[in-house]
Amino acid sequence: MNLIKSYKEFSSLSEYTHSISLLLARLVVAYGFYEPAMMKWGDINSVATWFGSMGIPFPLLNAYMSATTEIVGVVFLVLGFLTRFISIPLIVVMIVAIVTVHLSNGFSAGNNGFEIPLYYMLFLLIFIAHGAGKFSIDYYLFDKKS
Amino acid sequence: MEALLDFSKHIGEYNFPMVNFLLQAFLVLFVVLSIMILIYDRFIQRENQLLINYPLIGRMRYFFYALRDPMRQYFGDEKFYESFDKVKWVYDAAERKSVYASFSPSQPQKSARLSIKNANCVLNTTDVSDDFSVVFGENSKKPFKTNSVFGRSAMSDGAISPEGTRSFSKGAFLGKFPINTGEGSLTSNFLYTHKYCSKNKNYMEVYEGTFFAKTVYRVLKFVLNQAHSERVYRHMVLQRGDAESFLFDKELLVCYRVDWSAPLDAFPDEVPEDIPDIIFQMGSGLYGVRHKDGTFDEQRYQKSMKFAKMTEIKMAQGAKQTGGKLLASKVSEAIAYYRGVEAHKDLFSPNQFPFAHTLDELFDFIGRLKNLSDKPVGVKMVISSQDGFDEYANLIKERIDGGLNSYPDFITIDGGEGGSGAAPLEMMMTVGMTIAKALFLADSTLVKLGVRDKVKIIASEKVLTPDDAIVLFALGADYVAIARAFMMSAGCIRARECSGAHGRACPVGLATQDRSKRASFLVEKKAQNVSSYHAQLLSGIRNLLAIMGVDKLENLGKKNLIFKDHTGKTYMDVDQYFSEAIA
Repeated sequence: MNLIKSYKEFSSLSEYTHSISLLLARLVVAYGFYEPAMMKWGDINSVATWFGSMGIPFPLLNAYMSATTEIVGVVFLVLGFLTRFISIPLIVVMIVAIVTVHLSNGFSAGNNGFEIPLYYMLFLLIFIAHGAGKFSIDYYLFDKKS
Repeated sequence: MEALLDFSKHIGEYNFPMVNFLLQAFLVLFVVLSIMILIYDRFIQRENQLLINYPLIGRMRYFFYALRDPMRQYFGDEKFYESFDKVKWVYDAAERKSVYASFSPSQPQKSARLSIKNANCVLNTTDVSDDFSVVFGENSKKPFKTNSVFGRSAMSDGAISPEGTRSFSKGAFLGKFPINTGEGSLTSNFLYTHKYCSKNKNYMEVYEGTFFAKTVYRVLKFVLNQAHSERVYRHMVLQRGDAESFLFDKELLVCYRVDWSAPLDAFPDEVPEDIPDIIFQMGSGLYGVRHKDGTFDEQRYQKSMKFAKMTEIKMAQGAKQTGGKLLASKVSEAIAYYRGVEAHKDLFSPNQFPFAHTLDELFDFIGRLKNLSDKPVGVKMVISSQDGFDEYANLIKERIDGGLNSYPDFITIDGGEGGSGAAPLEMMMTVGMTIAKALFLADSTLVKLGVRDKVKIIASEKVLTPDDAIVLFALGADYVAIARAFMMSAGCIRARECSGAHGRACPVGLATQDRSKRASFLVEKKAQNVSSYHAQLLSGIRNLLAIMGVDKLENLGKKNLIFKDHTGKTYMDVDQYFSEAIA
């Protein structure tokens, strides 16, 4: 009985990590999107060519769309602004990346498999499920009053 | 030095591309949002005229508008009180700073006012008695003898934050002065100084953490501070919505509150010694003494009175002649628990007290309460006319002559200019006589009927400093109740956000249930300040009595007053002034 009570206390103590872990996860995921996004904006035409070579339709349009999603995603994730909303297109970007690039390499990260993008996807799913936590603009806009 | 230069050069070589990018992005986001708001203000919305003509910039107006009340005491002109020096006196007295002023008050006092006569040969302050006790209900089984002629006026837990109520309660305990619960019932926070022990465990509801929780508490207390570790401990141990209604014992590490469902004989016969003198106020909502269906709960009242010294029935207050008004934002789950109501919904007490459709009924109810509690019972009222008060006075005489105990042991007169956290503006200044006139009227009426010695008079209305109070004592008040000055001593900056309307909350966490505002409230420090203000007030009264040549407060009377009207005409006999003024 005492063990159950202790574990319950431990559980409520753990709740204090909720917002800080969401913040750290948001920052890390944002950084993960930052480099590929800057790379795409650095040379959008070669990205379009690369997309075309992989058989993606409307390569230039898609290059712009994914680059925009990523760069907006970086800013919004850092700010915690519309976190749940921006996570959805970012998941789509990750799915496209897995299907077109990583899937054929298997699971392992060492082999450029789909392990890492899968983790990104799961993180984004957690943002959809839990929101951005207290350290975010969302909290001040939507949660605080209620 | 070179190493330092080297180092700074090194630092300069680092660049953080992502940070640079984010700064740029924020700037872009800011500009884009501004343009969007501008377009919305100018071309889309048709709600706000100002914003159509002045999009974006016009929003500044609302920003400054929001700042107006919180900032008025710094920049605005202070006309609400006659003198800002009085306000400063309260703050200084609370913080144990010197309360001596220099030069003259910065704003002149009211031109028409009561003032006091000095003696030709004054007394030394030490010659004046320091016994400031008042006895209420001398004929009741358990009369209430206070240690002070001042007390904290009625402010309910709920209107005031839990932390605020705790500091008032502790301050009252330290300063040995009475504290009135307000109509929000006798809550855990009024019993803040009441320690949990084996003697009182019969009427306590207790939660104790396991070894794990206690270890976490001790570690956090060592690393951070007591307040933070207490918050974490509470969070771990009390998994319930009304967790705030529990007190916390720092030594035993238990969370406890009074278990009102305990049988009546489990409660102590005498009021515990480790709590302040509590005056229990009952309002029209009967909060804390009612059954679920809203009817009066005699047993619960008796249990509450095990902790209180006397009862005050609130018929009206100066700022509003209705029941209390607590907006939804302030009805937290703990408040709902105390009052036996639903949380997060506007809580407006009915205008009419349920046992006072007539004064006869009210007096019968007073008798009933006296028999239930064996303690004094009184009525709080606002006086607007001689006729209105005559009804009270005649009934008091009738009951006393009839040998009945169903009359009020005291009446609390609230002046028409008294304030409140939430009241309709139309009632705030318009209804009721100002306290000096009301007091004169009540005192002389009761004296005329020969029942003045049976009924004590409590007066209240904007008393800040000893000179405000001394004229009330001279006019016949036995005791003075103070709310706003005690608020200020507990840190109130008079931002006028007490009601919690407009989505704003008290900036110092005193009159709000907003957790983030309250979190930083320094209960122990403010308790000291509350008690210091009270001590300074008594000492000021003693000083004034000395220069009037009066050796005891009870020897003070109307003979010690003069009245000067706005033309400069001075009345040596205030009776004459009042008889002219109250036509």
